[in-house]
Amino acid sequence: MNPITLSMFTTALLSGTLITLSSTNWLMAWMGLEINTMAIIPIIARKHHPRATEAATKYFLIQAPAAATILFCAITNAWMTGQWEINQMSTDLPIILILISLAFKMGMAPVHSWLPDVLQGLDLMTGLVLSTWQKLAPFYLILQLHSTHSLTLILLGTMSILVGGWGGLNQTQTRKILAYSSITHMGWMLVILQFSPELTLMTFTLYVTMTLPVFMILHQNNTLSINKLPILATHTPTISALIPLLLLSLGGLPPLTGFIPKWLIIQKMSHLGLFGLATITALSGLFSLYFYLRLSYISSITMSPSSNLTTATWRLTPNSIPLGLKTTIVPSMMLLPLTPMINSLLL
Amino acid sequence: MTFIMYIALLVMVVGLGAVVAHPSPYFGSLTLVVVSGAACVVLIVYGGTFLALVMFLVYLGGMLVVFAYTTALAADSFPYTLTYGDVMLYWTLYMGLSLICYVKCTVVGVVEGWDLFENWEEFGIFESDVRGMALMYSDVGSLLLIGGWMLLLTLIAVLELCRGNSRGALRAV
Amino acid sequence: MKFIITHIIHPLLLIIPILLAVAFLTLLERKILGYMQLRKGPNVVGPFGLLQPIADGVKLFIKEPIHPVLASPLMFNATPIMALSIALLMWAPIPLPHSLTELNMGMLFILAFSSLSVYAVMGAGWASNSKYALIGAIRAIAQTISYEVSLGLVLLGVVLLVGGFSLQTFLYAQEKMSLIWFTWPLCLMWFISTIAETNRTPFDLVEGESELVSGFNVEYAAGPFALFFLAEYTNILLMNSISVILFFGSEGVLNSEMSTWSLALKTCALATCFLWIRATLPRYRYDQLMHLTWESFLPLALGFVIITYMVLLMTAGIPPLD
Repeated sequence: MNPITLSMFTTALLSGTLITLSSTNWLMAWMGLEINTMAIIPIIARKHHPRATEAATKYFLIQAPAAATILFCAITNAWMTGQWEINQMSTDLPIILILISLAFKMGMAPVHSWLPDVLQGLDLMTGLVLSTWQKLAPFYLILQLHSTHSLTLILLGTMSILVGGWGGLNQTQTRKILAYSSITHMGWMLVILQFSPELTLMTFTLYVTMTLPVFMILHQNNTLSINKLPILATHTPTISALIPLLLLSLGGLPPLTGFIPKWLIIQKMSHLGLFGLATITALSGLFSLYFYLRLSYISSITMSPSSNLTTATWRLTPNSIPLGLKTTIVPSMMLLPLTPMINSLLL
Repeated sequence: MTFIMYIALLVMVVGLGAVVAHPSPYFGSLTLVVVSGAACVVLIVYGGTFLALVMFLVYLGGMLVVFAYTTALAADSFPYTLTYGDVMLYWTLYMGLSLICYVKCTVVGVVEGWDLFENWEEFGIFESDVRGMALMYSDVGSLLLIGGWMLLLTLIAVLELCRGNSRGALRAV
Repeated sequence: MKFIITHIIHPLLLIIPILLAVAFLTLLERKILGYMQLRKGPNVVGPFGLLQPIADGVKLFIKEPIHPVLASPLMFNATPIMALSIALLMWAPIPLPHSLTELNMGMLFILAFSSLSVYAVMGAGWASNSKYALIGAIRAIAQTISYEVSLGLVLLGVVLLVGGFSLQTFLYAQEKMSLIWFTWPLCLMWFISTIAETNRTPFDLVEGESELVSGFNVEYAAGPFALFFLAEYTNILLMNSISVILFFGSEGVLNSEMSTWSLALKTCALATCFLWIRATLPRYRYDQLMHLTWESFLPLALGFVIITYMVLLMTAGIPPLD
């Protein structure tokens, strides 16, 4: 792609989300979402490859009706109540429909099934943008809508956690696994949304922090399916050793960063007496822990079945770990001791 | 006027059902034209004459292009119309659903708060769409700017996707 | 009784003269083409061939309408009716100088419905299930879409000067002087665009007699063909009378007895220009057709919109010089 065009689309990608974030009016929020969608589609289809084109088409076909539904609900709401404010929606019908279409835009269960397919067609850096930055704007809109319709929120959240874990179980493609992990994390955010929106925001931030290095590592080594993971040891042995920690942090195992959101969310639910909900979410988190565990097992404990005849490449290129990766790996593993600080900053 | 409004609304609902039920793109786009015409009539009844006519003009042109592309791309010698069994079945299904919704909303009255804001324009001198247009060019000019930027971006995105003989992304398949 | 007068008699009083005018326009066309090619044209039926159009009409309507086996029956028969009814519907807001219906957005209404009339051409071409007809229909679509853009933008320049979309406003605005004196480039673009919009030579690629046999109406015969024919000539007359109202409408006295006469005479003159152009110019190549509208008319018309707006802003504070 022409660098000028690319920079224009990147700017639009940023500004679309920023317009949504800074608007209190549904019309402006919708415009921001549309700018965002229109900007990412050429970026998705940047590689001239049938799968990229397929992904771009699918993404457009999904985002367009979702945005149309959002606009429809906003207009219905304006018609009923006479105002366009986002945080003053008061009637059930537009709220539920808007929640579902925003969930559709983010790819949450039960309207999630496009996300793994689309992500499968992308290169990993675009996939990273799709699973982090692209979720920011709809996520923020849901955040502004909180405390409105609790049943929809809880259903969307628990189903996302369940489906995200379930769907990832038999996958061999890393991009699809990451898509399902994204669905799961979105589920955790939505479950706690109405009880404590600050926790939701914190979960989102930590999810971005943790998923960033995973995408970057896989991108750096071009690891698109599970059976290429053992080769990591010959390229970058340090990272190969760190990958289980990163993945288990995504899964939410105790001494790692990923434990913070799960801990605080379950604690909050127990405080509120929602033991059933807490149990369901905690147990269904185990599904996703299973496939993270499988990924870490394959990447660091097994050897590549094909024997290596040449010198391992990490000896030839000693400084192959980029700086960005180093700086993101550390916070995505070691933030747990800072929990009180995060707590006092955000909550 | 109420009679015309009812007819237009009926055509809209029936036509939208047909749009969704048609599997062949030709009739989808043609029916969409009928639906948009009915929607413009509804708009006119509500007082937005200018808006309705401009929307009609734009929509006609757009659907014309859609139809031309479908005839160019989809070589479907015997397209399915409403008279075929499957299509008719789906259409009846959609009509039944919308009938249920209608009955639920009006007769049973489950949805609350449907006392709509439609009678607050009564004492205005100008038509509502003219007033909205004036507002768009004065107080909320930034909105207009962002809207224009959005359209420009869409144009560039479409050009980027479809340009070239072999490099256009949509032709890579 | 009132209902019958307003809903049946009044429209008929408009429709019948239009159809008569159309009939004699066809005769005029054949006569003029004939004399331009140094022959006489129709001169057998009646004095100077004056009864020729009536004989043509009788012939067309008593023939058997042929219906292709593979044509879509509903659309094949509905589109000629649609073509003629849209062409006649557009006459409703035309001030002659009094109109059948006074619409606030008369000009916009005509623009919208003239773009609807291409649906009839497209439906006819597609429904007759023939390659030539389909190609003609697709050409019609591309041409109409392109020329509607320039029509709309030219119109916007004039509307800015006049201050409204109502056709009555145009008459009142031109009481002192016709708009053609200071918007003649717009007028030229408008005139050429109307030729393209009505699919006349040199823009008759839709029919393309030598390439597409007869374009979108190859498969039509007898009655349905006559309807298309009537619709086409009605549109020519309509477009010319709109041109007169937009650019040539200076009567001095708006409601005098002469205004209808003057409108009719000017329309006749412009229609004769159409025929003259048909006799003189060869058909455009397709890419030239597209280049003309997208690369010449569109930028020029946009520029004129801006200039007009600027002039209006500059002279907004000047008191009327009357």
